Amino acid sequence: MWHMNNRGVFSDPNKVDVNTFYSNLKELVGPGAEMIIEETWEHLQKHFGTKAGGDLIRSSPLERIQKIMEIGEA
Amino acid sequence: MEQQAYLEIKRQRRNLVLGLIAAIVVIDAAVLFTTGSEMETFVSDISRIGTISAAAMVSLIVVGRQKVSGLFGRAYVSLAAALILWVAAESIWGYYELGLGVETPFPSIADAFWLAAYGPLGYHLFTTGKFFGKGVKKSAIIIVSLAAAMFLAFYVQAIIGVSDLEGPEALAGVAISIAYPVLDAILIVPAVLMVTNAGKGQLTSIPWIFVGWILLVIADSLLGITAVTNFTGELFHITMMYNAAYLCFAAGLVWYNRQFIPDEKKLAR
Repeated sequence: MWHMNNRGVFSDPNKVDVNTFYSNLKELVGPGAEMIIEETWEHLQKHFGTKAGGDLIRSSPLERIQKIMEIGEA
Repeated sequence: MEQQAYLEIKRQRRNLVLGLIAAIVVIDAAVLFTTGSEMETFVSDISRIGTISAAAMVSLIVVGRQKVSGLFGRAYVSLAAALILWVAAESIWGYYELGLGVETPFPSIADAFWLAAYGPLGYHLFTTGKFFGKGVKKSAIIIVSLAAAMFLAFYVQAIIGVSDLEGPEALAGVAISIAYPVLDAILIVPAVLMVTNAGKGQLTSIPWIFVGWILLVIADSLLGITAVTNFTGELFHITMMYNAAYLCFAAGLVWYNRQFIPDEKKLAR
């Protein structure tokens, strides 16, 4: 997160672009970034009861997180 | 700013590599230069206990900071458990040689600790292997698995061929002699795959723990071969290999502690 901060990913804490976050994460940790995003989605499901409904069922964890950040629920 | 951040990672990685090389050179030089002297056993045993204890201590710092939840939390608790079991095993080995002044019997209680460590270590390697191993080709998995199986077949055959199967503890001795290469062969597969698949991320370009495990399996194999061939010469190179392996584990944990666990104070700045 400190590296991301240095790269300006969190320059505006109220408006974090998940795609920018993911591409930076991929540069830092390689293909393992996908697993971190999957873990994050599982964490959101477990601790906040987040569910992927409707057309998000077949979407990737990254897209689901992106949607949640846009509208507050998925 | 992005370029600066990348250069900072490169600088930190270079410092860690240089620090690791310096530590290996200093410790292994002490082992090498005391070979054949009265200090040999002392330096050899103390160096191994010291290097594995250093790795175990850093692992406890990681667990303390990261806590135990989540996939990575569980993976690093497992690694810490394995390293602590190895500290116990190396200490028991040292106690026989330095405390009691006798050669460590085989099998001994130390073997129980060494073998017990394979469980949590295996959990760590296979769990973090999912992280490092994204994109590994199936053909690579098959080739590495076949190579490990072939090595194992020759090795076990050699052990059985030269084993003395008479006496009350003979069977247990042979079983333990075979257990080591079997477990080593199972865990070397993810290690080789992760090392050959590395270099795809700025923070994950060196999979230290997997490199350490490969060195450890080489040391285990050399030790096994000396036992199988009744080799009576110097064994300092095996101790040097174990020290290098343990220090690689420590380096990997230092890197993980610095780069992967968020520091609240740094983030607040």
